[in-house]
Amino acid sequence: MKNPADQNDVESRLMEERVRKLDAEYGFHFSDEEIKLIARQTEKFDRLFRSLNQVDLAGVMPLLKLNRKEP
Amino acid sequence: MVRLDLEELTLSEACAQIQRRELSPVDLTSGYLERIGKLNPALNAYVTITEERALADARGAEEEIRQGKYRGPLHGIPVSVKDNLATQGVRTTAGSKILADWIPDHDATVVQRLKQAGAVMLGKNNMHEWALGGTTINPFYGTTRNPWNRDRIAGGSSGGSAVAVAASLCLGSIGTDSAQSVRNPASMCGIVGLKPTYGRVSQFGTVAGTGAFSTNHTGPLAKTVEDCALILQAIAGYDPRDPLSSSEAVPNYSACLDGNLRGLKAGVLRGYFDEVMASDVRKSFSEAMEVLKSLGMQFEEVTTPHMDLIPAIKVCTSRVENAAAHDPLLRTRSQDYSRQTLYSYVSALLTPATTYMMAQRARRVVCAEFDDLLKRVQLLMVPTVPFSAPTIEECNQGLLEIDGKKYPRQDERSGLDTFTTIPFNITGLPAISVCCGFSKAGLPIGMQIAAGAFEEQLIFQVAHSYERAAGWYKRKPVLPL
Repeated sequence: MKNPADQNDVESRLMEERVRKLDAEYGFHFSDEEIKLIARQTEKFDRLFRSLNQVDLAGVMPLLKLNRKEP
Repeated sequence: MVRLDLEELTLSEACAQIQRRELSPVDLTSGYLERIGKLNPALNAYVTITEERALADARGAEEEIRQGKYRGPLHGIPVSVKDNLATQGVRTTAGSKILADWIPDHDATVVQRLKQAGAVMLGKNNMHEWALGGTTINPFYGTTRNPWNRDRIAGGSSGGSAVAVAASLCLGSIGTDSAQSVRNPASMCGIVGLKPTYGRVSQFGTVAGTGAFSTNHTGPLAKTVEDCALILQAIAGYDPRDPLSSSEAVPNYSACLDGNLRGLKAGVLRGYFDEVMASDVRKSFSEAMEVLKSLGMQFEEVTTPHMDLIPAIKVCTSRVENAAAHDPLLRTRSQDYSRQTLYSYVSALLTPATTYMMAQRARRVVCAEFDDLLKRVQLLMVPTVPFSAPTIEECNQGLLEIDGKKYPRQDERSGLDTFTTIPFNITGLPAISVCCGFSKAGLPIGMQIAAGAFEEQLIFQVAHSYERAAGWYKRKPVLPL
């Protein structure tokens, strides 16, 4: 079984790699420190978004417009 | 020139006096321009002051009224707008360096409608960079300061609009709100701010990238609920240039202000935000409930099954939609964003499309749960912000002090200042912020009153009755004149 700490380390390095790819594509010229910072920020949001898996979304369409409730 | 008490004057009082020709729009506009000249250097509510244009418009309004061509309540009334609303021939920065010299060739629909109503535009209000935050600490146009204590933030992102109203530098203003941005500064500055129903007010001409299209709204800020209703009347309604605007009929928002509240049932919203609520805010909110009970309202505590998911839904949809709007600029002008803003957009580019769609679908689940809630109660109430205005220094350090305990301004879910406002951005339901008291430090505290889609009339009725009974609107900040 993988050590969770090692697994987190691998995920962090993968995220940093994704930020580096964006950096190269967009020409941001981020420092290593900035790349790490953005990677940590993105991981934090990824963890938050995982909570969306709790909802049963079978057959649910996105909402596009509001209408007044029928009385 | 007539000596005017601009601190006490409300929009509804001014419009009655203008209609009776007891008050000159030119005198009124000159009075505001003089006051802006004295106070704006200390408060930084305006980034652009359109003095010549305002005086010309005021002269035009005065002449029309003299000829008997009175257009309605906003005729000759000096107002301002947030600087992410396009104004033809007037610089529109969106609080950004990138648009520092942009002069639009068109008006946003709200601006056009204000002009058609005869309002006089005094200028453009400072805001958070690209509306991406709630402090109005702007690295390019300076910090907007809270008139109740200039060491404290005004809230945001429509901070300049709220300060302009609270410091009597205009009679009303327009802001935009995709998470908190009308209601939060209204609360921190002790005034009234309305986020109308999604689609009630056109978004056409709101600068792209200053609020996600799924959750952004345009709404009025004013000294009183009655004033707010008068402004909404002028700007609401279908706009063919905004495909998301609603064709729902616009009622007379001032008609029911004095209605009886007896028998109305409100739900006090409970959820993930309870844990960070300052004791001052709890106390003021609870006292406000007592005032409303004395007016005949009934209350029960309510929540929804997926309340805890609201921050994830809001943050995901907003980040992705904003990043998509900024993508072309991120490729060419990345050096012209503040670093924090840039990091936020870059990070958002890494959110998978499938996650965004999941958030949009979860949003519908939450909306349905709020609809169910509104079958049991007619209104929903919750404090606007869990704390009163923090110091500028605290915000620069990314911290907040609540009841002597320090918190990061942003926890693992979202900005703490957005916790109680985002449920109404996700659901699109209308919500007003009205002052419900002051903290021990003398800072304003706001509460939200929300209702079903397109039920702004009901919100105005409750908010107006509360405002008159509680009387907080009479308190004014002491300013360095």
